[in-house]
This record gives sequence, structure tokens and C-alpha cells, in this order.
Amino acid sequence: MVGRTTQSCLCRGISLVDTMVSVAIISVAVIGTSSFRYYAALDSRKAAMQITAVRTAVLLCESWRAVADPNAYDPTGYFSTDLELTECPDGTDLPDEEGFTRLGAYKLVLNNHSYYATLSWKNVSAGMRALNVVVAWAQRDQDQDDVSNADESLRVTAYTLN
Amino acid sequence: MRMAKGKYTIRRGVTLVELAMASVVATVVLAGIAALLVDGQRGWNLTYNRVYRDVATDGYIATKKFDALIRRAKAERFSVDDDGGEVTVQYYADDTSATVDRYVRLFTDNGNLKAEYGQLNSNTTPTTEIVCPNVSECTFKQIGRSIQMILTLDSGTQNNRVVWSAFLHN
Repeated sequence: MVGRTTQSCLCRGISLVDTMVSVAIISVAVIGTSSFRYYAALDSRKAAMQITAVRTAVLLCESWRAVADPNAYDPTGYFSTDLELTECPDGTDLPDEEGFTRLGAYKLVLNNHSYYATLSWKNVSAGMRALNVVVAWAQRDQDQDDVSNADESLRVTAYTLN
Repeated sequence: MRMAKGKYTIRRGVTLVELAMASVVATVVLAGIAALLVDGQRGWNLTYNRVYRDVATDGYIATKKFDALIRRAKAERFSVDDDGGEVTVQYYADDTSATVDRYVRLFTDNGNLKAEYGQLNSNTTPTTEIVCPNVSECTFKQIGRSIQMILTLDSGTQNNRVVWSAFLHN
């Protein structure tokens, strides 16, 4: 009679190197996922601010274009009762092209962010005037409520007969 | 007759102190991972809601609709009521229309921005559609040949303020 042989499994276990490699792989995966989510959140926030800036520019540009005397356009007279719109003497730089005359600069607070709009115009040809609106906002330092921190801007130009 | 041959490894086992220490370390690691996952999920929800939340998509729809309706309107045929609560514009039904024969009225009702379409000089019943819900405030203004809309959307948890201006071309 042959008795049953009992064999215990001898597991090698995991070494420190195994552990470190697995931790490194997991870390890369976690950091990659976190980075993706972080930049997705950041970009969606930037996009929302840019959309609001475009809407602000269109609001000012189209209403400026519609007034009888473009030289006398003052948005605070039209919107200050409904929007947080005030004059902002500093404003932003004028467009690079020469010949633009500044009409005014304004600060608008919308959706808890400040936007700085500078209005300028230029007679591009006989009877044709370009109305230019540059809207700037602070994308990096969103808590800094000052035009000098504005690091993003966009420009909308409309044309009208004068 | 051969005796059974057995191979046994003798393990020391773990003490209560080692078990407790391991539990503490594991708890800390798990808590960190859980916090990371929860924070990540929260951030993702925030991002998703910022793009696809009701008040964001409603804002796009409202501006698109407002723009489309106002831009095709007849410049001499529009009116904004005194408190800016509604605007009515008139327009041609299509390219073959010799006269202005349609109107649309934009107004707010029970938290909805609505558009009422009707025919001028006709007894037909106007039709009304909801442009967007979640409207807490809407003001229309008229400056020269343009109309402005200042729309505040509030879903209770999120809000969005939208401004837009449209020029009457016809």
C-alpha cells in the first residue's frame, strides 16, 4: 500500500522590485487619468469664458452698428440698468492696424467673470466704417479683477455705412 | 509498505500588532484612492455639466432662435413693450410674399421663453412653441435697428446669463 504524498505549494511571493514596478504602472495610469480630467475641466471653463466673450462682443458690436450716430454710442446708457457694465478708462490695446480711433472702453461682469471691451472705429473707404470691438478677459488669473491681468482677447468687426 | 511522505512549510503567522499595522496602512491607502476617485468623478461631473447642463444648452438654443427670428424680420415692423418683457416682429412668409404677412412674438411665460407665430390680418389661431425653459428673467431692448436679449437662465442649481444682439436686415 502506497500512502498519499502531500505536497505543499511553495509560492515565491513578490519582491520589492515587483511591487515598485506595479506601483509605477498604476501611478502612471492614475496620473494620466487625473491629467486628462484636469485639462478637460480647464478647457471647458476656458470655452465657457470664450463663449461669453463672443456674446459680449456681438452685443456691443451689433447694437453699436444699429445706432443712428456711431460716434455717440455709449453702451452704459443702454445696458447699465440690466448688466453690470461700467466705463473702464484703461481698456485694452487698439488693433494693430493704424487709423483706428478709440470710442471708449468698458468693463462688463457676466457669469461672475470680468470682461473688458474696447470699442474703436475706422473709415475704411468712402461711406464705409469699420466698427471694432476687442473683448479681453483674464483666463489665467480669473480671480484678479483687473484689466492688466487680461491674457486672452478676441475681436469682432462690423461694417456700417456712415 | 512505504510511509507517506509529507512536505510542510512552517509559517510563523501574523501577530495582532502586524495585522493592526497592515490594516492601518491599507486603510490610509484605500482612503487616498477613494478620495482621488471621488474628486475625479466630481470634477468630471462638473465639466460635463458645464458643457451639457440645461442652462448651457438652453442658452445656445435661445440665442440661435432669437438670431434667426430677428434677422429675417422687417426692420420697420417691430415693437418692444415698455418693460422689455416681450418683442414682436413681422416678416415675410417666404420669398414669394409681396407683403409682410407673418408675425412672431417672443415672451416669457411660467419660466419658459416662448415664440408665438401668427398671420397678420387673419383669423387663424397662432401657434406657440417653447424656445427654452429655466428662464428666470428675460429683457428685450431696442437700439436703432437692432434688438438685444438679456436672458437669465436658472435651473435651481445652476445659472447662466446670456446676452445677444441681432440686427434687422430687411
